[in-house]
Amino acid sequence: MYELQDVSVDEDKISNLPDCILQHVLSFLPTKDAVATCILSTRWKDLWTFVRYIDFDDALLYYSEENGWYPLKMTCFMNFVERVLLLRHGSNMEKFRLSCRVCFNASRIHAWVSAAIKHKVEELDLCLFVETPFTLPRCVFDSESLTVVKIEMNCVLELPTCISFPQLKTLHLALVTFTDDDSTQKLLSSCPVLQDLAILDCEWMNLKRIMVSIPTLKSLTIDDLPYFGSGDELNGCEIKIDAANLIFLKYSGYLLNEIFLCNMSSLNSASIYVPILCERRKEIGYRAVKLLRGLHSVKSMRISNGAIEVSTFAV
Amino acid sequence: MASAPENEKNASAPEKKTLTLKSMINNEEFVVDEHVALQSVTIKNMVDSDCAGDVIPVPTISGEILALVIEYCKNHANPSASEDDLKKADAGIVAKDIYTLIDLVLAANFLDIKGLLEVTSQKIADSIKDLPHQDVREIFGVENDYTPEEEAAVRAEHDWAFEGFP
Repeated sequence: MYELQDVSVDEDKISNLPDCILQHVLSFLPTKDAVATCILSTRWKDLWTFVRYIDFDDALLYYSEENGWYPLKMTCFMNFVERVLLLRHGSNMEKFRLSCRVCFNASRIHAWVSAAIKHKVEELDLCLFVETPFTLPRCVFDSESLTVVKIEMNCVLELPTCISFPQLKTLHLALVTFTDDDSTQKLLSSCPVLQDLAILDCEWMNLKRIMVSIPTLKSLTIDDLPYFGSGDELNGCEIKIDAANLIFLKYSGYLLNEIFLCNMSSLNSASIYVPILCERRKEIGYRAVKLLRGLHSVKSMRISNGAIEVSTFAV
Repeated sequence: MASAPENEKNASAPEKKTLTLKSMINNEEFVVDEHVALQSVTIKNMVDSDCAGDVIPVPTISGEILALVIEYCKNHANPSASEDDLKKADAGIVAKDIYTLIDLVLAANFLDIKGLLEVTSQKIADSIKDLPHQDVREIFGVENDYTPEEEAAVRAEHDWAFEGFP
């Protein structure tokens, strides 16, 4: 009986793939490509409206910028985002990624991000090239559903007074400028289950002293490499890190911010990269020694030549 | 004292429960550890509700596909496998042609194995991503039943979606 069904069933099986599987596959396409499958046949017309992952990217606009089509195409992109957000239905949105590197419209982006939060998005990934003053919607910072937040934007990170991330496990911040000690401290203290924190090429200049005390933290990355050589930058921020369950630590930077590690008993692997500056070698040397001392219980460590060399200036 | 050897035996080799999965397409049988098979929610529900006999028949899934599914479940039931190991192993399992992938996604859906459903769907999406629509139609056995006017209207409705498409 089963043999009878064997080979001949194949073609039919494929054209009869259940909608739920096709919708699943469409979720893994960039949203632009998922929507384009509406052209395949009438059955596919609305399949994309059930995608769980939304991924908008304005990359195609880079090219139209060069050949004069830009304003028209930008409107076309923005209308597309809005249509998708309006027409999409089904259950909650799991991921929302928005990359706007050339198309920046503060009020529209504000609305799109708010819409994602309203759909109880779990993963928010924003990459914004900000051209005018911009504040993220407040609801981003007071969300029950968010488990992953990745924000890359070249502007001040304005934070509301009420911050609550009860489910947040991953927080990556890139290129943002922190405003002051209090609000930054508040942000880092409002993630009770955070496991993965990355602070990448951010501007710390407004900060004096920060305490990263997160018992659930497992992975911490601080990339602090941008350096414009403006002399007296050594009075950067004091960053104290207290994370008893931290397993992985990566630091790359000039140690213009001073880092104190304490309570690193679970640390399994560390990677330290410190390039050598011509100025203030002695002070940086002291900082490097202090940083390395905090790593005494680590099991495996990668360390740059510069970090070792700079430590010798401390003597 | 008499029980000492027995204790020792229990400690060194706790009895492993196994289940036999049988592909109803080509009658191939696979004996797997229970905790491996239980990664399938469908099988778990059968076992939990005592509906599973000695041999669990798996309809519509060939032995070839069932072997891949079991390989996936074995990898993910191994507590010492690192995340990197699992990623590499998953990539190996889904490095297949599109038709095998479609069989695999159907199997993952039927057996309700969320992780396998995710990696297979991702791989199918990657493989159709840059294909012309006619090729995607062929893969999924889709017949274009739009009239030219309807097709033009659908295109106009989502013009950005077709930017840069051939």
